[in-house]
Amino acid sequence: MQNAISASGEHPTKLVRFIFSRRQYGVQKLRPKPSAFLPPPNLPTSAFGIDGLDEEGIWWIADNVVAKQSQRDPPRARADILSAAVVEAQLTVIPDPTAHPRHVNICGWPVEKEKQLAIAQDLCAAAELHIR
Amino acid sequence: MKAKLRNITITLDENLARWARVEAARRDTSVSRFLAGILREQMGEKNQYADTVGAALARESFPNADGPYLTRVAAHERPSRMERLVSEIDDAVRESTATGTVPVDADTKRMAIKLATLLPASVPIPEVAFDPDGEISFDWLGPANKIFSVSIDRSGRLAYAGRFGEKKKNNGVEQLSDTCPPEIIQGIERAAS
Repeated sequence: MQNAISASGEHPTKLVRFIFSRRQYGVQKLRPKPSAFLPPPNLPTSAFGIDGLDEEGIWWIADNVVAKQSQRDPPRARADILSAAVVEAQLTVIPDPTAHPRHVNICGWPVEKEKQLAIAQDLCAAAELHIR
Repeated sequence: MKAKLRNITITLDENLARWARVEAARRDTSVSRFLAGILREQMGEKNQYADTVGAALARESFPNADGPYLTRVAAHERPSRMERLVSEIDDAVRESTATGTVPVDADTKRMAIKLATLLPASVPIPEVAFDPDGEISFDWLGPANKIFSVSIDRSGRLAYAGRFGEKKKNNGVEQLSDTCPPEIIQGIERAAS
């Protein structure tokens, strides 16, 4: 499986944001919530490029990279989103292969919380939720 | 036939009385009618609950089950709207301590409960989440991707954003006081409609 993950260093067209808490997505509406995308204080939002990966490959990253590095239980869900939607929301996608070849940072968040919420809502509208 | 009306005097503390006056004024009605509406809604919920329990008790037990289908009705009393919301906030705080980047602190929790208390009974119950910065967020997920979100911090600062369509969006900041800011109520109602 590891071989399926290539280090491209280029901007991926499709991204995934892994979700650890059931509170970060709406089960009835099957949509991620803004808290799933909001960045930690003074940090970018962490995501992964998933171009060329199948379902198994995406969840492999969740279990073997994200969960292990963060020392948490495996993610409960994920939000798939196009890089174009992130850029349209006035954010930038910057490859950050230090932790993993497919890792990217979603940067450019405004400081104001209300503006962060508005952008996160746009990302939620563009994203596709997958629950395990 | 016209219903018989009865006058009842109730005693409220100053904050509650002020809130009732403001809420009634906002709905363009009297305090008396506003409070009667809340009581009527409570009565409806109780009746619905009694009907549901009655129906459940009337059912036969599952095969191989011991005893009646429901035997401890008191253990299954439906929690009130406020109890449910406080329980959700409690859970979110606990979860943030385990998985959040910045845990939700006691002051933020207190402010979130205050906001929950001030939400009118007429608006839907929000979904509660914790943000990576340690704030508590309330989300109302409506039809057609509509959403209204409020994040509250330890000082009672309410950052909100609404997305009611591709071009219909708003965001802003309010300070929590003794009433729920009208901007918040309007946003919830727009998302839910």
